[in-house]
Amino acid sequence: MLRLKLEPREKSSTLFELYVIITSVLLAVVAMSIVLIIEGKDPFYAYKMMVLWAFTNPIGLQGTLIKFTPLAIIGLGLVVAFRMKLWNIGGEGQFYLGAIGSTYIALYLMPDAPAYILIPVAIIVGSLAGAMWGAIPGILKAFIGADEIVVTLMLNYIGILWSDYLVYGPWKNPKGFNFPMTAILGENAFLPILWGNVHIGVIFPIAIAIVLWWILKRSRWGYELKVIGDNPDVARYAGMNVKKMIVVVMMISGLMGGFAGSVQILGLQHRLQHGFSPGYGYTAIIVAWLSRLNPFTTILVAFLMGGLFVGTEILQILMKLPISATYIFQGLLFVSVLIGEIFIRYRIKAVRISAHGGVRDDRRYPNSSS
Amino acid sequence: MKIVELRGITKHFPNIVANDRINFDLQEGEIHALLGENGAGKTTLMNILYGLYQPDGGEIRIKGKQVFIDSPKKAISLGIGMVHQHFTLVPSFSVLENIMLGLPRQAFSKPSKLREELQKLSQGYGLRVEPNAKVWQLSVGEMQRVEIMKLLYRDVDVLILDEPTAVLTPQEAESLFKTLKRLANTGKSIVFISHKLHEVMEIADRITVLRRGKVVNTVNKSETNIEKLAEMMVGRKIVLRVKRQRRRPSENVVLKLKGVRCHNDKGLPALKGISLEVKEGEILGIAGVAGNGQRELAEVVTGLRHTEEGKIWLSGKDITNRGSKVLIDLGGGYIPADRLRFGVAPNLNISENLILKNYRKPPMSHGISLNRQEISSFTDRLIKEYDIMVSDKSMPVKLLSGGNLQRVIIARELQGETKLIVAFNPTRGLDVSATEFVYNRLIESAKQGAAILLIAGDLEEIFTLSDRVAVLYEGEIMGYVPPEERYLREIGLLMAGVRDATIKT
Repeated sequence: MLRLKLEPREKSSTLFELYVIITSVLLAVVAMSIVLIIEGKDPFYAYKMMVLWAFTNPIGLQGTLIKFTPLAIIGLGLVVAFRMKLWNIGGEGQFYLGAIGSTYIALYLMPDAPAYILIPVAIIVGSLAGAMWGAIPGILKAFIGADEIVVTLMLNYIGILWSDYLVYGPWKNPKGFNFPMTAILGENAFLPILWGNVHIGVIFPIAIAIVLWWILKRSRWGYELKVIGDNPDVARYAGMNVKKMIVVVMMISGLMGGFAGSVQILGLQHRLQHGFSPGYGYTAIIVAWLSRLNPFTTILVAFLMGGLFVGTEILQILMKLPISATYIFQGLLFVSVLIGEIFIRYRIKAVRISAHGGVRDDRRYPNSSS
Repeated sequence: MKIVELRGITKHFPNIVANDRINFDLQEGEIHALLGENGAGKTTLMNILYGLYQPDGGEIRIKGKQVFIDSPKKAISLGIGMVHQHFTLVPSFSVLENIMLGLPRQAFSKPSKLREELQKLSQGYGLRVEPNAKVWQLSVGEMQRVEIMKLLYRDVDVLILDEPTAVLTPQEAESLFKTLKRLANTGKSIVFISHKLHEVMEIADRITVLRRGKVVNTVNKSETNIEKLAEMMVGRKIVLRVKRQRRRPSENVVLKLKGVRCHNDKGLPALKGISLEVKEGEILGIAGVAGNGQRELAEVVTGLRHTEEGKIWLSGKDITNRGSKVLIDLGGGYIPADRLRFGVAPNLNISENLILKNYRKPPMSHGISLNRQEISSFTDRLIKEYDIMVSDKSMPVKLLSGGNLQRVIIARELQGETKLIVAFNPTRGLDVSATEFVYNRLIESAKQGAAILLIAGDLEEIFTLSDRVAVLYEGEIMGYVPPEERYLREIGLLMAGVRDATIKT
């Protein structure tokens, strides 16, 4: 009888990780092919169209970049928190808070201000709203030990429902035929457009990633973050203020979520509306995780993830596939990449259980008695 | 007759071979000591016999018949019982209830009969325990007796004891030894796991020495002696004692505690008014059975635990409840007992662990940025100076051996101008050469004027290093004793809470 055992790896090479990730993606592609063949579609044609549309067709590429922007910004914020082992899964709520904050400034507080004042103020207020949404679980965690996973998750619902209350109620556009959305913002609140409908926000994640990389890798603060994340007891002995750090890091993480929400409203959406996020805050968790908490890979993963969303959209149009086919493919990809993680973190060993019960490892000890 | 025979037992753990083709046998009615340093594989081997681990290779024979032991339950049914270092008793249950726990249902119907049988057992073997006492009220020695009774009541032939004296006072250990001898005389076989040479020579009939997962040898006690055993245990001839020249300490008090009280993690009083002084160049040893406030003492002094009452001064400055940063700034160092938990950030690399105390200041950092060149040369310097064996400077320190990990901590804590060192079981789990290294470093620091508060469970360590010894019992200092072997009995009494034993120094 053969039994499989998992043993943690001490260290794995970057090349090996890359190899595992590519293999996982290929396996998901193969699995999806089976689904496509059952549906009577040509998988090769489908994949070719997905890639060409998402990354080479101008319209498709614009869509990819538009999805990339919020995924990357929220993802980078999560990287900071995850590095300290603070599991902020409240990206979605923080994203909504940022959107609410900016909409309030641009639509109600100072709609007539010139762009060079309105845009910065709207972004700052939106970001601070997100930071506040991060501070709440941070303070609860630091001072009364409340689990941040639960609190951030709950705050997602509160954030989303609050936004819904506003667009269904007091902020509903009076001339909007009763649709749950606000009026459109003034053009003075629009972010400059770079290409097609890709706004200037696409540059932000790249700038943030560079700054973040430096902070995490080269600054005293990044060092403290790393030590606290690994062993708070030792950090406390070294004189680091662990509680303050928890609050600050959760605020930064929330700030980025809020910033992403702000950019989304001012750059693309131009109004707050019901369900304006297709779950960016949740997908960003996967982005941060797959990027192994590195700011630069976060950018890359967010871009590919954006491409995946856009690519599967085109399948619906071209191949008349139902939207559930899209979900199947995304699900297959995530599952196989996460399974791949097991191979990166652990080594799998085959162990043979001999007839009379003794267990032995045939591979390493061929001569040991049985 | 051979009760137990282990043949070619092999067990792997990630990165290490805990047991490598081990042969071991146990005769009826013998006390067989399993001797070795921490990490030699003694406990692993016995956990395999007790069914807690499955071996990767090899076979187990009980009374000549090959068996497959997949659980402690199976082991007990085969007549093998084990007492671990951490007891498995329910504190709120009585002794009787703890012994009944897990017995077939019939036993519960006649507790009076059970009580009678227990009485008989406890008289027969000299295991004094009150059957109706609640376990939480018992002393550690009594709890151990309950564990042994539990197994005897289940009629085991083989009793495995994992470092049974580690938690006992010398007096309690002596009474345990008497019981064990009586048990052996009635035909029970005993495996006695230990790393203490004196103890093994006192109690064992035969001794099997393990080193790095392999059997070095099995010898009869009559044919060996302490020096030979020590040599087998560590693999080379060693001087067991680091000589310390005791000097008259200066009059400058470096560390002073006055009436310090604090709570333990459960919020119960742990230190009940401790006052002490450590002078420049002096090593004050704090002896005592583990769990009498040692950890709390180390933590209040290092600023990691809140002082409820009383004051602590370092070099004349009040540092009470001012956190460890103040301690570090005043030249304090801390060598904790649990290295991976309190000494290092285990997943960070060696540089990141070495700069923990000085990363805020130039030249390690300028403003908000860390100075990488300076950190790298600082790391190289300490690696060389403290002889740290590290193949890859980027690997997480948790992969270093215990001895090397301790060198990393000591390098960090002792570099620079050190005024005070709090060393809490600084050699726990280290082999002899690493222990020597730690001793020599501490002695060197004392010579240069550091005051050292040495809190240790191992009396030999205390005797080797200290200028004065204070005995800690239930959060109080019971008295002071000179660090000499001939005062062992007095120390034992103080450790058990008898105050009159103090010697005037």
